[in-house]
Amino acid sequence: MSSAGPGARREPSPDADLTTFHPAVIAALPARDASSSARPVGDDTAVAAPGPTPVGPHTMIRTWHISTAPDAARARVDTARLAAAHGVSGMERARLTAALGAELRQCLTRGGTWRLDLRAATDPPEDGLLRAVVTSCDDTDDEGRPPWHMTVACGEGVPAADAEPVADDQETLADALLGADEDTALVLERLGEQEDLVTFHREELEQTNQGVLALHAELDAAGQAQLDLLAAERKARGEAEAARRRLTFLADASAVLTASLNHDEVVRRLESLLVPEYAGSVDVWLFDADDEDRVNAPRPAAAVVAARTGRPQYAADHPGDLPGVDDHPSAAPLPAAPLLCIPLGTRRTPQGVLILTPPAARWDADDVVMLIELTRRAGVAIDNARRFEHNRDIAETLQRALLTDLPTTPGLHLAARYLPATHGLNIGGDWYDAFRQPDGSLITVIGDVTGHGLHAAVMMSQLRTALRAYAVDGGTPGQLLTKLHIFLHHLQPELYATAVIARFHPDDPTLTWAAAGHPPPVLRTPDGQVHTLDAKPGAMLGIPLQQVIQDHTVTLTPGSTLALYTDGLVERRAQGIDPGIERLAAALGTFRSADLDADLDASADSLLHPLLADSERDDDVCLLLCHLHSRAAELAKTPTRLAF
Amino acid sequence: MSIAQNPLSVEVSLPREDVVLLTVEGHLDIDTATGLQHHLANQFQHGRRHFLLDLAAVPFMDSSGMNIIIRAYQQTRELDGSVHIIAPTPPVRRILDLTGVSITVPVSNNVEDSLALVDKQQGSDSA
Repeated sequence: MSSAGPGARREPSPDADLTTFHPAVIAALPARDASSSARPVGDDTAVAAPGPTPVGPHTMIRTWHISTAPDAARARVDTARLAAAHGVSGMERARLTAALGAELRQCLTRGGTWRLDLRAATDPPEDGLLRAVVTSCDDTDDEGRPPWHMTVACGEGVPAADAEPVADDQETLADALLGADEDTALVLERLGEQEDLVTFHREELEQTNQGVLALHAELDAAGQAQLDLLAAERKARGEAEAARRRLTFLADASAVLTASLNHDEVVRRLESLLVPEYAGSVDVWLFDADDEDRVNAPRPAAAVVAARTGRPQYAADHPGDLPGVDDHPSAAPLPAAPLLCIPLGTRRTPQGVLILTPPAARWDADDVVMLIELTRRAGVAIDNARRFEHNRDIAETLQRALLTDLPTTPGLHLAARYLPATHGLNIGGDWYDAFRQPDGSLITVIGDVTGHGLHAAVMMSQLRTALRAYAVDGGTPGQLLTKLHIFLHHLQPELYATAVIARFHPDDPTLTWAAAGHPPPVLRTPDGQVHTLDAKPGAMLGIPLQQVIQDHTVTLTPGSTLALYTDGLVERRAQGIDPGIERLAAALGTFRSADLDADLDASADSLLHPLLADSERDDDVCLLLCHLHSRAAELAKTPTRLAF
Repeated sequence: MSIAQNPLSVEVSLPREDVVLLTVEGHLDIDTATGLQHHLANQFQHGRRHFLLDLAAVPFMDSSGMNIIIRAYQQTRELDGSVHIIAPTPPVRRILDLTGVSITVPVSNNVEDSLALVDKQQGSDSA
């Protein structure tokens, strides 16, 4: 007889109901020791267990031989009764009898005679065990099948009384059956308790799980809230950044736009400012552009509406919902890309329409607000530029109209250059003139009215006319300048002018000149020497001062060249005027008399070019060259052309 | 453009109650002259009669600058006041001499000299 496996050997503790319920404890395991199964049943007095725990000797209680169902029933009933007598608990009893019944049914099915031994383990005596073993009485039937056995715990203080074998009658069996039901009821009751317990624990677990789930949910929610906060913060920071960028852009762009007083330049700058960040493309429709093609080019319907209504229009296959912008009715032919058409200028002074395509699929609403504001500023800049250009064009036109066709004379060649300032407001004040007096003298003059623009140009024309009028009565350059000084002081107390007048006479080799606050004339003599005529000049014309402007004279030899000019030719911000005057003198010294005789105009050009190379050209430049021909006397003797 | 390149700064101080000293720094040209003119107009409003213009830090002055100086001179003449130019740089001095502005508007080397000229004028006025 083999010992049971460790699982079956385990002894359930009386108070550990939960553990006794475990299938491992109630399982009736076949013994694993195949060699021990061949042993005679009766020799099984001492068995070495596979585990370290020694098992004491068994006391045989009873043996049954079973070959029929009534045998089996009887054995089962007896076993139950004996187990009860040994204090085996109801649970254990039911377990033992149920397992035994099942085993015996199998044995009966197999046939033959079977033997059931019920033994009590007495060592140690306080841990009483009751052991049932079923073995086959027929050796032939034993096909190496290990004997069935099962061990249950006895109660304390056993055995109370050794039970007698049950009587073999119906009543006893019926009692036993009912008694078995009691055991079963007890088992079921325990099962119920265990189920309740399981249910309770399951509920506990459920609640715990729900708690855990709730905790996780809270953690998730907290995590999500944190993410939301982070996202919101990032968004807010992004928006603040975008707003700051827009404002910076607007300020910078406004400065760029208003820095120019040329409206074409403003338009060009607008495009380079907006593409590609705020617009995919920029088209500027100016209403009164000079360019015919631009005027007559077909315009998007939305641009026409913007021009008519003075309100920004958005044209696309979807509503723009942009602030301050009308959605252009979709009935009109749709443009290929969304168009934003913003009027340039105010309703009273419309300049044109800015036609934009978006930088991406659509515009950001805030960008559009910025674009509208920028367009408003661009409109102001273009308006300013146009007004300025208009004013400047008038001044320049007036000035050019007043600049004289120089008298042609055989002995005295004249060449004049007038270069208006290329930028800035400085246009308007410079003038030159040359005309004859009744006595045949030739008056040449160059002057500069202080102040700029239209006002200065008009004043210049008045001075010029006044000079011509005064010169009709004769008078020396100094006398004429003195008259102009009084004239200007009375007529325009807030405008002043500088001027040089030089008078040539065909019969007199004397040059008479006078200056009022003007840079000194430069005279080249035929020997190549250059003289700055810097005899003390009078004060500027028109200043609150009584003055009589003095005449100066110098004797001219044929081949001499007098250069009259305005300060724009010689004045440089970094240096003042004197270095410029020296450069002019040096340049004039390099000319050859033959070249000056041959082509004075070419000489004027080649004189201007190097002198103006470093000029900012922010002031008008006037130059008047007066060249007495090397053979002036000869020419003057020609009867048909008397003098010049 | 010149505004950005050559900003004009004007510092105003009052050495005496009716004397204002304007210390100008920068190019005095058509783009910046209006700024100086506003300062002058403001001081006229406050009843100053004598105007000292320190031009030591003005490397360049064009006719716009001269216009302002002569106009100020004309205005102060009606108030028995005066305009003085202090320490002009050589290029500016050259223009002042060439145009004769320095004949009408006295040029001094420093503030003390110009204040002395103001005193002298006031002394001769009261005499």
